[in-house]
Amino acid sequence: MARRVSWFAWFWYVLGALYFIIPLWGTFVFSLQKERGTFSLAAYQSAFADPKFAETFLYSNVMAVLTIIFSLLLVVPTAYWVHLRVPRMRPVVEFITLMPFVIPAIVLVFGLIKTFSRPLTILGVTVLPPLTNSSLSTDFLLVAGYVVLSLPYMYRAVDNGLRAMDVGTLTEAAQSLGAGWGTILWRIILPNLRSALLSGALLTFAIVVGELTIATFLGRPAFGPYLALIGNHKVYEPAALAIVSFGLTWLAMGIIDRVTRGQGGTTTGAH
Amino acid sequence: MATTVQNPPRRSRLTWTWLGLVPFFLFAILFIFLPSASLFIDSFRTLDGGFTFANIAGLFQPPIPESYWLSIRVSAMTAVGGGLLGFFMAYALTVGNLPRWLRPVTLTFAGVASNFAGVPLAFAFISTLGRTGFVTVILRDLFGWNIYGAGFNLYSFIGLSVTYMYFQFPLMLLIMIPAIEGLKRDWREAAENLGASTFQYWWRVGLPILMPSLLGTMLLLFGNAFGAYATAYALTGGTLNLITIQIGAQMRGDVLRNPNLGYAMALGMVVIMAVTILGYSWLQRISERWLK
Amino acid sequence: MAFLSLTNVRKVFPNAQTAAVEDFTLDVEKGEFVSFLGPSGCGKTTTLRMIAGFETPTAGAIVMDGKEISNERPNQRNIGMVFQSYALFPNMTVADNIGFGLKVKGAPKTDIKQRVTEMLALIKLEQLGGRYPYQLSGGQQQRVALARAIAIRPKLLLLDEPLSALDAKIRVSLRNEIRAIQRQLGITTIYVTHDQEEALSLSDRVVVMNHGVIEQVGQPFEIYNFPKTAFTASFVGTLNMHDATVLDAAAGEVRLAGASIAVPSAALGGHRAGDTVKVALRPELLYVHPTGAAVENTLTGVVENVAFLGAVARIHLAVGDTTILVDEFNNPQLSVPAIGSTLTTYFTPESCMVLG
Ligand SMILES: Nc1ncnc2c1ncn2[C@@H]1O[C@H](COP(=O)(O)OP(=O)(O)OP(=O)(O)O)[C@@H](O)[C@H]1O
Ligand SMILES: [Mg+2]
Repeated sequence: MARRVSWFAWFWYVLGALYFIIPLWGTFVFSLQKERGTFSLAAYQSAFADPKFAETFLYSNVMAVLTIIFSLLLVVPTAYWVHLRVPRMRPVVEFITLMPFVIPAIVLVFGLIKTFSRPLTILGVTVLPPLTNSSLSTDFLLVAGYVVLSLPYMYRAVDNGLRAMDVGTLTEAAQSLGAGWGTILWRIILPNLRSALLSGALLTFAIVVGELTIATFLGRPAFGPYLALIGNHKVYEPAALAIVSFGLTWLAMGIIDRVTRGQGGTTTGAH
Repeated sequence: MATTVQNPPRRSRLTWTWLGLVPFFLFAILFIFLPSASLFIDSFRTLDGGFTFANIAGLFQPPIPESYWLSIRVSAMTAVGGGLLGFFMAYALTVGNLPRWLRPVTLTFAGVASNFAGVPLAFAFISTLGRTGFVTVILRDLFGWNIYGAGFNLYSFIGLSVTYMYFQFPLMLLIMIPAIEGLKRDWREAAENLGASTFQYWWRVGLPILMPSLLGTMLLLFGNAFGAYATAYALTGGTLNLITIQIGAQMRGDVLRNPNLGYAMALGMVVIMAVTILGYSWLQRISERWLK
Repeated sequence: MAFLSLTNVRKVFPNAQTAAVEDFTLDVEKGEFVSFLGPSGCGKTTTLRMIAGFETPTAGAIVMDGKEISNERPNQRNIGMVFQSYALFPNMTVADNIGFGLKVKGAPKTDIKQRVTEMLALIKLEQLGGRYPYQLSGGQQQRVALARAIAIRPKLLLLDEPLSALDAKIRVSLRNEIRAIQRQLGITTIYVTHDQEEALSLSDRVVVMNHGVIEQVGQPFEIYNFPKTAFTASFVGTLNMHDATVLDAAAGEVRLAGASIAVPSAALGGHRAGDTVKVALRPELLYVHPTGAAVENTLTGVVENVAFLGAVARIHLAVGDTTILVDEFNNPQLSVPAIGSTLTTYFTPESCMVLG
C-alpha cells in the first residue's frame, strides 16, 4: 500500500482542525469587541473587576484543593492496598470508581440532597445530622460530591502509576531494609507516583473549578454558577471568561502532558 | 487473602488486610450507594410510603418520554457525528501520512478540548454562533448568508449538538489513535500478500477489527452527552426539554407535583447510562481480545 | 532459466549506514525448498520481504517465472507468505481466514468453500473451521497461516521463521509437516530460519548469510561437511577451529597445538611453510579409540570437562593452551573419562578442514 499523502486524510484533518479553532478564534475576537469599533481588553478588565469574580474563583479553588486532598487520601492508600494485598478486590474497587460514568452529576446531587438534607438514621439511630443546614457542612457535601466525580481519573492515574513501578517488589525491598508502612508510603511509593498524582490532581482541578451542576443545586457561591449568572446578564464578559478558562484547562493539560510524557496517560473526561 | 506467601493466613491478619479498604468502601457507601439507593427506593414508593409502580408508569406520561427522547437524540447524534469526525481524524493522523509535527499539537489540543465543557464551552459557542456571534456575523455580512434565517438556532437541538461535538470528537480522537495503531503491520501485509487492495484491507480486515472499539467508544460518547447538564443549561437557560434539564427543574421546585416521579426520572437515566456502559465494556472486551 | 532468480540485489534502508542486503544473487528451481540461514540481523527477512514486495530493492533484479517483478505491487505477485507472528485476522474464523485470498480475488462462493475444506483437511484441522484464532493453540494458528498462504495457489511460498514462537517438540513435528505438504504440492518454497538444525533437515539447498551477503549456497550435506568460509563452518554445527602453522605444504603437514598433524595436502595449495592457517575439526570426527585408518593424527591432553548431551558425551580436552572438543557416542557399556585424566584423541587427515 503506497504511503502517500491523501486528500482524504487532509480533508478530515482540516475539518477537525477548523472545528477546534473556529469557536476559539471566534470567541477570542468577540471578547475583544466590548468597545465599539475597536479591539480592546475592556471585557477582560470588566470581568476581573467584578468582586464576585475573585470571590467565587477563590472559593472554587479552595474547594478544588480540598477535593484533591481528600481524593488523594482516599485513592492512594486504597489503590496501593489493592495492588499489594487484595488484588482480587481490584474489579470491585475499579467498578466503584467508574460509578460517575453511570450516575451523572445531576443524579448524584439529586441523591446527595435527598439523603443528607435530613438526619441520617440507621435502624432508628441518628448517625448524622442534616448536612445542608450550615454552609460549612454543605461545603463538605460539595467536596464529597467532587471527590466522587474525581474518582475515575484519580484512581486511573494512581493505578497506572503503581502498575508502572512494580509496587510489590519495591515494598518488599523496603521491608527487608526495615522500613515501616509509613516510611514505605511516604518515602518510596509517593515519590515514585509523583507524576501520576500530579496528573490526577490537575485533571480533578480542571473538572472542579468550573463545575456547575453540583455547586448550583447545593447553592454554593462557586465559580461555575457565577459564570452561568454572568452569561445571563453580560454579552462580552462571558466570552472573555471562556477564553480564560480555556487557557486554564490548557495549562492543566499541558502540565499533565509534560509530566506523563511517554507514559501513555490519558487525559479525557466525561461531562 | 493469602497474597503473602511466607505467612500462613491467620485470622487477625485477614481482618487487617480488609481493614485497609474500609475508608474507601465507607465513602462509597455514604456518597455513592446510599444516595443512589434512596432514589431507587423512592422511585417505587407512593407519597405516603407504600409500594407502587405508578412512578415508573409515570415516566411514560408526557412530557417525560419527550425529554428522554430528545436527550437520546442529541446524545446519539453527537456520538455518531463526533465519533465519525474523531475516527477519520485519528485515521488521518495515524495512517494518513500527514506531517509528523501535526500529531503532538493535535493531541494536546484534543486533550484540552475533550475537557473543555460546561459553562465556558456554552459561552464560546454563543460568542461564535449566537445571533450576534463572530461566525454568524461574518457569514451574514461577508457572504450574505443569514444562518438564523436559514433555520439554524444555537439554542435548539441542532445548536446543542454542534456544541456537544466540540468535546465529543476530541475524545473519540484520543481513544481511536491507540486503537488504530494497535492494528498490526503484519495484518496489512498478510492481506496485501493474499491479493487484497488497500480498500479491501480496510473494508474486510482493518475496519472490522476496529469495529468493537469504534462502537464502544461511540457508546461512551453517548453516555458522555446523555448525562451532560451544565453545557445545556448554560446554552439554553433550561428551555430545551432534555431529561437532565427536567430533573434540574424538578430539583429547583416540585414541577411534577410528585417528588417520587422525579426520583424515577433519575432512576431512568441511571438505567440508560448503565446499559450504555455495559455495552461499552462488552465491546471493549472483544476488542482487547483481538488486539492483545 | 531458474524459476526464481535474484540478481545482484541490494537493499539500503533510508538513513542506514550499511546495506542490509548486498549483491545477493540466487537461482531457485521450480519445486525447490531453499532455506535462508544466518544470525539475527543478517538480512534474511529483508530479502524475503523484497521477494514478497514489501520492500523495494535499491538495486538488482528479481525475476519470477520469466517476469521481472521488482516493480509489481505485493498484491499482484501471487506469492504466499507465512509470518512469524502468524498474522491471522482476529475478526475472522479459521475458514474465513483461509478463504480470504480467494474472496478478495472474487472467486465464487462454492469454489472458496471447496478450497477451504481441502486446506483444512491438508492441515488436519477439519473440525476447527468455525473457530476464531484466539481459540487456537500456537501450533494450530501456524498451520492455519500456512493453509491461508497456500489456499491462493501461490507460485512461491515464503516462510519467515514460522516456528520460532513455538516450543521445541511442536517445532519438530510441524516442520516435518510443512515439508510434507510442500512436497505433496510441489510448491517452490523459501524458508527463513536462524536454527541450523531446521535448515539442514528441511532444505534441498541452504543459503548461509552473514552481514547482508551470501556466504555459501549448497545442499545441507555440502554446507556441513565442506564449508567454504570460516563463518559457515562455525555457524553451522559445532566446530574446533584453531590456528595452525604450515610445516610442509606439499606433504600436508601443519603444527597444531604443539603437535605435527597431517591434513589433505591439496588444502594447503598456495601456502608456504610458516604460514598461519585455520584448521577446523568437527568434534564427532575425533575419536577416543584408534580408528584403524592408515595415517592417524593424534593429540594428547588432559580432560577438563565432560558434558553429557544425551546422544553424545562432549569431552573438553586441554592440549597445551588449546581446548579441543571431542564427541564420543553414548554407550552405556563404556564409562566417560574422568576429569583430570590424560586422553589421546585420534582423527584422520581427511577430517581436517583448512580454511583461509
Ligand atoms: N525498516 C527498516 N529500516 C531500517 N533498517 C532496517 C529495517 N528493517 C531491517 N533493517 C535492518 O536491516 C538489517 C537486516 O534486518 P533483517 O530484518 O533482514 O534481519 P534478519 O536476518 O531477518 O534477522 P532476524 O533473524 O533477527 O529476524 C538489520 O541490521 C536491521 O536493523
Ligand atoms: Mg527476520
